Amino acid sequence: MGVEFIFQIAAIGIIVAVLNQLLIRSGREEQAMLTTLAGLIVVLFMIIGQISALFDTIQSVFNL
Amino acid sequence: MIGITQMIGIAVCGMLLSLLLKGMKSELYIVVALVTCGILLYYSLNLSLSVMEYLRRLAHRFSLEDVYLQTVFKVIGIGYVCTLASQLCKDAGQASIGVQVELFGKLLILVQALPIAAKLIDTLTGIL
Repeated sequence: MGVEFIFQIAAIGIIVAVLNQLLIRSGREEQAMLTTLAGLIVVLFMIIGQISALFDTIQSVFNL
Repeated sequence: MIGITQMIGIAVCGMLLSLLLKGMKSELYIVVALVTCGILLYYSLNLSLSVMEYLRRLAHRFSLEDVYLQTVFKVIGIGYVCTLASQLCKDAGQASIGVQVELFGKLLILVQALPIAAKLIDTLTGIL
């Protein structure tokens, strides 16, 4: 939980973007779109846990 | 607990990475922005804890009812989260969603504040 978490997500984003360009240039648009989708889903799964922890903290702090 | 320099470091790193991803036409730039905001919000929560503790002690000294302070903290919490969400929506270019989130937040705050206003009016009419 911290800066390295940002770097992880940014790294995945860069890799997915580069892969996407690579696949598009080599004529495989479908795989490119699927790779981007897969990258997005992986990242969303990663941050779901952190976001729920953040909202639990907010609820406990402000006892909403 | 982090100081102001670490906080600015995290913010600048997140901002640059988000712009980098946006330049590469990747949809993940908004996720990087969300994670950066989440981390900074988490650290600012630690600060607001000490403020809330001080306010609670102050309220006890003036024998203020606890329900008033609870409502104030609830409203602040709602404000925190709704502002975060609506600004993120505007960052991503979806201003309409941001406006709806703000509207929902304002109404939720109104719902929290109405009982207090009613109690205030009762006490006022009692005095007059």
